This record gives sequence, structure tokens and C-alpha cells, in this order.
Amino acid sequence: MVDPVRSDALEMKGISKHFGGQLAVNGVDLVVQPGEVHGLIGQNGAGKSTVVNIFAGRLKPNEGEVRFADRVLVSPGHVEKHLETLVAVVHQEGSVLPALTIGENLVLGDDRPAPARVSRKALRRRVGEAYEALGLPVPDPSALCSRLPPADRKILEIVRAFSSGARFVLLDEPSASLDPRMTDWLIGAMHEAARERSLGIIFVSHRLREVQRGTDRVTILRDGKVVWDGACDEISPADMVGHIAGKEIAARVDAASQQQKGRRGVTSDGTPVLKLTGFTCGTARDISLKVDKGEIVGVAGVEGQGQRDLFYSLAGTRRYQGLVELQGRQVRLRSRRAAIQTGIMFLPDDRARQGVIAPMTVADNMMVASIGTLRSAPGWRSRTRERKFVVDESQRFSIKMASPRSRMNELSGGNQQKVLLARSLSKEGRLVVLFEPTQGVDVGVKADIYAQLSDLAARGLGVLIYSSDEDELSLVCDRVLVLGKGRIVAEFTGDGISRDAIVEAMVGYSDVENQLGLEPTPETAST
Amino acid sequence: MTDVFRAPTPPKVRSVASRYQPSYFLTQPTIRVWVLAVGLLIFYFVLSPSSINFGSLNLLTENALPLAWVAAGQMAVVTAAQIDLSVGSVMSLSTAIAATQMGSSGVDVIGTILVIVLIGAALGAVNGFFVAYRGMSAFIVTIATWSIIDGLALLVLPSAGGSVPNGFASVINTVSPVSFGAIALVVSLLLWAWVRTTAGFMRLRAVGSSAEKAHWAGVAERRTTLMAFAFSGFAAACAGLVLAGITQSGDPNIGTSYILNGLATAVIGGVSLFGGSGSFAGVVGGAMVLTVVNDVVFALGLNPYLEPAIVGGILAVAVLTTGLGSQGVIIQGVES
Repeated sequence: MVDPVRSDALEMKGISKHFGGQLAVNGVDLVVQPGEVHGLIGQNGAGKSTVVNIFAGRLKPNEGEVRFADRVLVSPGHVEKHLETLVAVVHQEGSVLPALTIGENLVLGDDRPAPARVSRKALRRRVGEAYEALGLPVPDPSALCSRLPPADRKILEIVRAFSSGARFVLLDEPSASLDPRMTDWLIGAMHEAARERSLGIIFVSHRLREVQRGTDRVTILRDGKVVWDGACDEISPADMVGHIAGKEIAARVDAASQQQKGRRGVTSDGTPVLKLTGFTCGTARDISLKVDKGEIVGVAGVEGQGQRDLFYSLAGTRRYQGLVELQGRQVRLRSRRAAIQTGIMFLPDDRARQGVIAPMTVADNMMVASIGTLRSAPGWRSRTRERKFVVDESQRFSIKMASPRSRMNELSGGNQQKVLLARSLSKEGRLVVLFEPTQGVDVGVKADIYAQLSDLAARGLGVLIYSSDEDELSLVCDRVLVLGKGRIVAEFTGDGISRDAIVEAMVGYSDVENQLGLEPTPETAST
Repeated sequence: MTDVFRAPTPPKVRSVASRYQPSYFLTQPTIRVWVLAVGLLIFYFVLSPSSINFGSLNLLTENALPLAWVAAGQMAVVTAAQIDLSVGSVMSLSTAIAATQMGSSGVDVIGTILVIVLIGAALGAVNGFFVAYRGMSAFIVTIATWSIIDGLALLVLPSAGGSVPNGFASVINTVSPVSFGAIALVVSLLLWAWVRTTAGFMRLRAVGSSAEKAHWAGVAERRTTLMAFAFSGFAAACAGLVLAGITQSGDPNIGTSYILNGLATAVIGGVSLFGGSGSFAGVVGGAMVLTVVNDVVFALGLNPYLEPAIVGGILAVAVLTTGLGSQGVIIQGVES
């Protein structure tokens, strides 16, 4: 089943890397063949990004080497110069420079030494060629990247990697900020690049469905070791989860999804926790909805259908029109503070910018929202109360860390997300509003978060959740609302909720289509 | 299910569209600062109708020139997300050297000018070296060099005085038919029209936007930062030369007021203090605003002791109402 290693493959041999005392990658062998899309999956902290960074020459390994055609590209003491001309990377955290335009970002790395002058004409041509080659509409090359939505920035990075002339392209979780349709595009583009241009591609993703659809080979990492490697067709999704998480966590994931299914159909009468009437803000138009006690309501929609306006208004950071009632009482959400005081707990999606306070410790990050309630007397902090709080919350959310005094950025993405969730939920409240709570976290952490959500619902809180992962919505929610052009265009309850139904209702609302004069295809237009 | 998805998807996808393009009129800081400058100028002419003539415009450009140049250097450094507090001392040192060392022959004058601007660039490069290659805080490094260079200026010329050759002074002080300041500003704006299209300036913005990302994109981020500081020193030395010409003497303390005024000029001119964006055309507008405000206060004929307070007040109102100097940081709604 394993093809012989071709002489023009990118090959990683016996790579080990440790950070401090912790072994991130332990003796990994990995071969990227030209003409092949190679999926790389594993939990947060399994070593995927480390592997990608070593391939790209951003990190030097402690042992082992990366070879290409009898040349050693990366070894403990050496990184080949101009490696990026051979290996292009789309990094998870994004590498688009916001102060530059689309065109400038595209040419920034090329043609070293870069041309002395950057002409508009050349930029326009370059952008046109690069986007068209991947079957995308051509954007304005002089649009400033700081104004682009995350999905468009990610697309720019992908386009840059594919048009750089590199023979290997490494994509570290490129689909996290893409909607289902763009994910389909990406899968098609990767496939085409591999077949027609014989590129070797590594595709890292947390969404197993994409890996199943889009890759030829799969390597699964757990705790820095390769636990499975083979053709994609030879492994079932259930086995993937088993290999990724280990048996124990796989069982927990299973239990969590059983629990969710058991909850289905739980409804309560009486005053809803949240009731919106004629709510309008930005793109969101005239939305009326309610969330009952103990109910988990999901919101779906391709990007830019007003979901951000809706959720961030509830967080108190956008001006809106319309009536908001919390447990029957009309409230005005004028500010973050006002929203918190009315009992809305909010988790933003942009972990790096709006969540993590990187230089502070894990404990401080967890306590920052509720420090006022942990005092022993006004102006005096209480060591004992703080310690108890941190210990309790860490256990409740099963947060893994070396010490509460670790710096926040030493934690893996999934654990950071749990800390932020602990922070958001540490205030007393009635409604939990979550915007993309599981973006970029692995199945184990997802299971933990889902368990917390059903726990909250069981305690009688209302939960409103937006997610770009339709599987997640269909697993977790009692009711799912689909937004299109700022309005609710579909609603599913109980057994009517399924991924396919949600996606079918979602697509056809990309506004660019309208700008480009493209009609939605007939089968997606009907909802 | 694999077969369905293996086929490349047709290009019916969303993308970046022109609606994200910044709208260039009035929201563009450069245009706004020029609207403000012209507005203030009209206000000045209303207050003092006798000044409505070509000569007062010439005088205005003459006064704005050193500010615009020193701010140009500051703009380069701030665009790289750094700061240079030593520019004032470089200006002082330049006037001191010009007032003591410049001979009267043409060759001497040009030679001394070259030496002065080279010294400026070298001092800037020293700042840049410590910041870029030694990872030191620009704030600390340039405060230290500020003090050291001030000391050097005092060694060269212990107190205000000395003199510059008449030939040099008369060129700098030309006001008719067109002032030296106007010519120099136009020439430097033309130069800017070229500089802004260069790959070098693009790299500078990339470094200021995020040095790490720029590094991984293949930009020599340390060299770029060093060059920005070297240019700042060079620009400050040029500004110092202009001051020496205008005052026809040297002064080891003359640069002090230009440190923060230069920075303010850059910020009013639309340079982001977070790095990554700036335009010299805006900076010249900023220099005009600061210069005209002083004239306006003078024309109001108030108690001279009140002048600084009034200048500050007008500036604050003007900047607040036009949104200039806004750095785009508003806590409510940062998420957008």
C-alpha cells in the first residue's frame, strides 16, 4: 500500500523537537509526494504545526532532517537558504500584512531581490493571473488588507502560496475561517494543483469530513508521534477519531454526543430567556427570535449574513434597533458592561485579538472578568479565593497547564479556548452567547465544550451559539436558525436538524455572487 | 462520496470586492489635512486681510520647510513602528557645525553640507543599529543619543551664535519670486511621488505592519529598520541646515522644540503610530497646519504669553473635529 519514496518527494526523517522539557514531536517520518494531497491531522498539541514549521524551516529540529532530492534542507544545525521558493506555507495564524494592499501582499515575498519599483499595472496583472489560475474572481489589487474579512485574507494567503512557484504547499488549518462553499473550492483547488501541476500538498485540518473528501493520504499524529499513515480510503471516520484522540477520549466524545441526542426535544414554557423583536443592526434586518430556558439555539449562515452584527450587539458592542427582552424585562445593551450586568455571558471568536491577554498568566486571564468578586475587602485581593477559583475552574473545564502561573501563550489553542470560556462563564448570568466557540480546537476539547454547554442548559440557562461548523450545530443544538442576507431564512428543530439541511439553506447567500451577477445554481437556490 | 468532491469546483465563489477599497475622498487623511490647512489659511486671511499676497505664502512655506523635513524622517521611523527622539539634537548639531565650520567658498559650502548630512545619516544609523540589531527599545536608545548628540552640539558651539556664509544664507532665504521653501517642498513632494511606488517603501510598511510576518515573507526587516533611522537622521540634518540658513547662525538648543512638533506633524499628517502607513504629502499638510496655526494666533493679537495655550487649543479643536490624528483605536467595537 505504501508507494516507494520518489526521488522528488519532500521527506522528513526521524524528526524530534522539544520546547523546554516538553517533547512536541518525537521521531516523525513523513513523506510528501508530488501530485498528492496529504492530510495531517491530530489533536491540539499533537505536533502538527511543529511538523509544518520544521518543513518550512521556521523551526530547527533537535534531531532528524528534511530532505529533498538528495539535498538536506533542514537539520538541527542548518536551514537551507531560500527554502520558501521550494516550500510555501499558509500559516494558521495568518501572515497577511494588514497595512499592505492585496497586490503588495502577493508580491512582497517574490523575486528576491524584489524589483525596485512596484507598478500598479504589474500588480494588477499579477493579482489577475494568480486569482484566475485558481478559478476565483479577481479582487481589486489596491484594496487594503486591514479591511478584508478573515476569509478573504485567508484566500489571499492560499492564492499567494499556490502562485509562488513553490513545488510544495503546506496549508495549516486553512479552512477554519472559510465557509462550506469556499472549503469546497479549496478542496477542488488543492486537487487540481496536485494533479495538473504535480504539487505536493500538506493539508492540516480539524474537520475530518474535509480530510476525508480532500486528501489522498492521511497521517495522524498523537502526542508527537505518527500513529497512522496510509491512503485516505483505507480509514473510516470513526477510526480517525479513535487514532486522533486515543480510545479514552473517543469514548468521551461518543458519550457527549449521546448526551446531546438525549437532550433533544427538551423545551420549557414560560418566559423565554432572550426575546428579540424587530432587531436590526448592520446587515442583520428585522430579526425576531427567542431562546427558552434550558434551550441551545444555533445560528448558521455563510459569512457576512449579519451573524456578527447580531452576536456582537448582544455583547453590547454594536448599536442596534429593536426590542431586546431578557426574561421578560426589556433591556438596552449600550455597552459591554451593560450587557454583562443584564446577565449575558459572551465569548468572542477572535481568540488572539479579543480573547487571550498573552503576557498575563493563565490564572490572571481566567480571573480578569471576575476579579471584583474575588476580593476580600474593597481594594484587597484574596489569595485564597483566587486560588480556589482557579483550581475549581481548571477542574471544571479540565484545563491542562504546567501551572496557573504559566503564561497564556504557552498553552495550546484548545486549552486557551477553555480558559476563555471559563472567564466568560465565571460571572453569574442567564444567557450564554458564543461566537464560534470551537474554532481551531480538536475533538477532545470540542467534547469538553459541548459537555459544558449541555450542563449550562441543564441548569436552566439559555444558550445562543453561532458556528461555521454545521456538524457541530446539528450535534449540539435544540433548534437551528439559518441567516441569509440578514434575515432568518430557515429554522430547524429536533429531528429536523441535519447538516445537509442546514447547508442547503445556507448556500446561495454569498453576496459576491450578486455583485458578480452569478446566479446560485438551481439545486442550492431552493430552501 | 469521494468522487463527488474530487471534481474541481467551478468558480462560483465569494471574493474580495471593490467595496473594501478605502474611499479616497475626505476619509483619506492626506486630503483631510490639506482641507484643514487651507481652511486655517482662509481663516488667517480673514483675520489679517493685509497678508493676502504671494509673499506671505512664500514666507509660510519657508517656515514650514524644516518642520516638514524633520517630520519626513520621523514618518519613516514611525512607519516602521518605531520612534526617533534624537532628531532635535541632530538638528542642533547641524546648525552648530554649519555656523562654525562652513567656509565661504562654494566648494566649502557644498562640502560642509555633505559632511553634515552624512553625520546626520550616520547618527541615525547608530540608532537604527541598536534598535534593529540589538533589539533595544527605540524610545530608550534615542533618548540616550539625544542627550549625547546635544552634548556634542555644545562642544562644537557652546552657545547660540557663529555665522553661516552669506551665499548659503541668501539661497536659503530666497523669498521672491518663489521661496526656497516652496521649491524645496515641491521637489521633495516630487521625490515622494517616486518613493511611494518603490519596493523599499513597501517593505518599510510591511515591517511596520508586522516585523515578524514581514521577516517570514522574505523582507530584510532589520536592514529596513536601520535604513529608516538613517533616513531620519539625514532628514533632521537637512532640516538643521535650513534652520542655520534662516537664522544665519547656529544654536545648540534650537532643535528641542522640533522633537515633539515633528512627531505631531507626522501624526496630524496621517501617519499611524502603530506603523505601516504614512504619506509625505500628508506630512507636508501637517506642517502647513502647525505653521498656519501660529500665524493665526499672531494675527489674533493676543497676550503673547497666551500664545502657546491658544495654539494648543486651536490644534486640539481642529484635529478632533476633522478626525485627524485618530489612530483608529476605539475600544467599543474594536471587533469590526
